[in-house]
Amino acid sequence: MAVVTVGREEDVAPGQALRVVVKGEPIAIFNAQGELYAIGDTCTHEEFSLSDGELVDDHTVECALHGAQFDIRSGAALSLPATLPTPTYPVWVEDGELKIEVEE
Amino acid sequence: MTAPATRRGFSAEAVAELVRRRDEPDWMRQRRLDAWQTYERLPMPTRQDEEWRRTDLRDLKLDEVAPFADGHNGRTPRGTLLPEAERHEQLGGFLGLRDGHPVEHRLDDALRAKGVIFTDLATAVREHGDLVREHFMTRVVPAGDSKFAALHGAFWDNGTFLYVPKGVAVELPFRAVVAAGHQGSASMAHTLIVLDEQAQATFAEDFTSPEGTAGGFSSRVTEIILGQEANLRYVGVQRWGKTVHDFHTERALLGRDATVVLETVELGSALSKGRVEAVFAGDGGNAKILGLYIEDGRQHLDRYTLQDHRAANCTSDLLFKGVLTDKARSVFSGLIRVAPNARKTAAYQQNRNLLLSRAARADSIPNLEIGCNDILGCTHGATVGKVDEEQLFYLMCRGLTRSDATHLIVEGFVDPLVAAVPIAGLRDALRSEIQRRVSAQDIQ
Repeated sequence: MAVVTVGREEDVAPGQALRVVVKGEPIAIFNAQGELYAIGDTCTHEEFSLSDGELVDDHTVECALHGAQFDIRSGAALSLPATLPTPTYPVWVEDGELKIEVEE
Repeated sequence: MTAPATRRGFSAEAVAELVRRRDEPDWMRQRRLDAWQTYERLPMPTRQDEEWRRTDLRDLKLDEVAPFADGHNGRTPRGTLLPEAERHEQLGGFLGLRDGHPVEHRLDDALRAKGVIFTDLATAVREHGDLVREHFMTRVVPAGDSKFAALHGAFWDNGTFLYVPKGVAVELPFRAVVAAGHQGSASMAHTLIVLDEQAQATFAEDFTSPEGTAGGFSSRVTEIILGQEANLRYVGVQRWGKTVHDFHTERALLGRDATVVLETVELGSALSKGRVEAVFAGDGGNAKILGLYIEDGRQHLDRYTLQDHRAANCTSDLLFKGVLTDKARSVFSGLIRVAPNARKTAAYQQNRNLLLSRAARADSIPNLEIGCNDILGCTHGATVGKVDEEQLFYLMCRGLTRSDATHLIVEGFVDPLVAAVPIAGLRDALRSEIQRRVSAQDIQ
């Protein structure tokens, strides 16, 4: 496992999402009421960017292309047209920097 | 190591500098400047454009690409660019290009005496200007064809020019290898093939670069013009390093009763987006369009194909096959377009994808646009699937391990396309290369 710095705490404001690419993997970081969650950025239905989607409640992101919903805590697909989950990544702030843990 | 180019990014200043450096006639200089104007005028494609919906360009940083190498570094490469497996082959001619510079060139004297021209494009611009001027990015792939074609029109570095005069049938194949360093720099290779009436030729070219950590950018354009009853067999093999972004437009314009076999084999690059098209401008044409792609890791391949029937009694037959594993992704969208006057059209299209891992993905979208009722047939077929369990069972019954059985089935899947390569040495080398690549996969 590797820890990568992907930005600063202020890069992702409450209610917003930040798309980063770590080791070739696009990852979406969401700030849901101050809590940070990181999931795979790619919608498992048709590969749209989830960071371009919308947080429809505290822990659900909706893909802007076809409305597939995912739980940003577990990565689970909550609605059609998505059926496969998206991966999750540990994310936290350390000394003002955004850190993500990914596989080597 | 090539010295790093100091200039980065594509700009009007970069075109001006390129034009200054090159020893080209005024008409070509002007074409480059005009192409740059076109590039600036055309918008960059977005995910909203149908053709770009499934290909994400966000990781393409055009500003960081060195638009041209900073001059030949003076190193004489050891050995020939012609692959070992083919050195015993009899060729009509061979051209080796390294970072846009022609480092090897030979053409059979008898062919030269018959008026055949086979040389690098930069030399052809100077020595055969009239021919090149008439055909280079005029009717087939003009600069306005797309944003990337316009960029190519401004910055193209070199490539192959093959001209076969009327009535000359060349039995021996022509071969070219375009090698690029690709350490953050652009390679813009242009292939221009013009066959006059009843001319015949076979041409195979490789595009190759070493694996490297710096990204590379490639813009390839292949223009093929076939006169009446001309006959061409073409093979293009792309073996760019797996960090390269590759954009390719390949289009063949067929005259009356012309025949073409166009084959592309895509093995490398991080992302390769291209168009492969055959346009029938005269009655009675025949086009066979073959494509093979092998993708692993996170490679992404996107091909839009077009069989454009603008005339009567033409036949086109397209077969694209892909093998994908790991998290690779392919997009295939083929269009058969039949104009109202294209009576007795026979057009076939097939795309077959074999997925060897759970995360691999292939999109296959066939399209038909038929404007004529009096046609012989237009069919399309698309499949995406895993290795057939029943086939595996029967092979394992005969003592093969599951792994060996799977590899054998995959080889059988790709073989018809490898068998279609007209040069024995190249064919054998491809077969081995694909075998090695597939054997290295841990198939799920």
